[in-house]
Amino acid sequence: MKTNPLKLALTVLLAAAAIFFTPSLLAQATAKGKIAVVVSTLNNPWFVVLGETAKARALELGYEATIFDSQNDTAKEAANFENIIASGYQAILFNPTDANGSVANVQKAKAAGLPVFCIDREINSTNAATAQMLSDSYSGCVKLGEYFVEQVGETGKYVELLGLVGDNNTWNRSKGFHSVVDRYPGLKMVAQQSAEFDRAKGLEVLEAILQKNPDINAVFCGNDAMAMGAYQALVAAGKDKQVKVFGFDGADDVVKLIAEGKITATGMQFPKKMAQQAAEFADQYLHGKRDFPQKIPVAVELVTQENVGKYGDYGRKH
Amino acid sequence: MKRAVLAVIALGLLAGGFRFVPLFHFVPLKQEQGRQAAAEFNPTNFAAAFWNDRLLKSLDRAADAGTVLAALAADSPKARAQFGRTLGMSSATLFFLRGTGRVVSVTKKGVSLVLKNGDNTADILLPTGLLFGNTVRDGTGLLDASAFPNSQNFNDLSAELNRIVETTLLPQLREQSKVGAKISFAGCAEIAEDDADVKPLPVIPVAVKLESP
Repeated sequence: MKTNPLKLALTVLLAAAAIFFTPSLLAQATAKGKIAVVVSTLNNPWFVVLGETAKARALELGYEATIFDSQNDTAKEAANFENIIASGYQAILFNPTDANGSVANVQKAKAAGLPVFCIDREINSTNAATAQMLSDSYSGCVKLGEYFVEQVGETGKYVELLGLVGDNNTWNRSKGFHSVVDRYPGLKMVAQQSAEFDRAKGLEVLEAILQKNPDINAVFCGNDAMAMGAYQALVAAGKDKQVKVFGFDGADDVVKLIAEGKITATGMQFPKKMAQQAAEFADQYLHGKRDFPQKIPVAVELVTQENVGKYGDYGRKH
Repeated sequence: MKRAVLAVIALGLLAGGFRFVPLFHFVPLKQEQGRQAAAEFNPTNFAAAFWNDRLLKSLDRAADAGTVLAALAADSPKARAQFGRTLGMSSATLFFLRGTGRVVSVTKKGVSLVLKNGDNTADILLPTGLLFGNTVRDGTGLLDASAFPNSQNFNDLSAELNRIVETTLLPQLREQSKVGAKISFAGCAEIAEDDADVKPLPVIPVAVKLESP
């Protein structure tokens, strides 16, 4: 058997480098500790991006990081927190399931000495989490409401699909939207129903609503997953050309459909930016920083067919 | 003796039971007060108290509109940093401004003012239509989101402050503004990151004083 000496030398060098560097990287990660990423649900691509980005940034900063899925269930979320507290994690990057129901979990972690950084969703307490990075859903939906009136006009019939009723984002989005649209008496909401931020439920709920209200002009959805479900329902009913769909999140599939002229608009929430910032805050905390603002609003930008070229990959294109 | 042992066991079991199903809970007073405050938050009362007791008493904190516009034209990033404020992770800048101007036009959109004598290009637009969003709430810098456990309350406050402007200031502006008249104003403005040409700058008024032409 012929052996290329150069190839052999390179292989030996690579093997030596692997042996030399791998333990040091592992040792660094172990030395820095473990960060938990608790996400309300992984059944929605937007939250997957949120969780994966937080984890990736924590890894980059030298920590071990694990994602926990609460499956939109506060009991599962509580079990995740128990597990995290008992397993020696040093910080929690947290996307809560319920504004009120999640407070006790954060307090438990705080009592155990773990800082908690809320991402995207709020808890109704200002003395439990170390900091909360929150999309300004209200302002985002004011912008969407104004664009809705521009696009639909001052008269018409529309449906609103709400998210999880226990989540403040659901109501901040709805209230922001209605703060504008309700000023136009010619715009009539014929149905308002929760589809729990879920694509399949969005499809199912709108299908049922369309049976009774076949003549609607628009659907306002509290997130993009429901907007995708609503759009599917409209396609199935042959009404996708006449009914305008508005979402919220800035999910990639919706941004693409806006570019294709199939969905009218969404609000870009920048999940990657928020998740990275949360991981960086945790790192700063673990290095001794304590003076974090409690609530950090994150601006939401309106994405429409006019400016969609500027957006993609869950943020602004650079 | 046997009875005493049984009694001790029973007491132990009872104490253990209370450990898991306590008859009462200790809750920190601050936490309970916060919970009650959130539950009882009345945006109308809060907005009225804020308007009268804080906002109207803080008008002297507003920057001179002419100075800010000149600074924005000369070096926008520097002017934004010097006179404005940015909330959290946002790229828009908020300003609290005051000044006196001459009315050059009155339209459905609002009342346009020039700040300098001899100039006829509008510097400021005082909008007189429907008001939306958080510019008034956030523009003065007097209110902090971190003081509100539930952001829904903070957002309800925004709607109330807009309502105060719409009902107490805008009718007077719409009905009494005449071209050539002088108006002294204080108000809030928001400039987006990519707004290069800000004139006429929309300033939502929180105080106005009209003088006849």
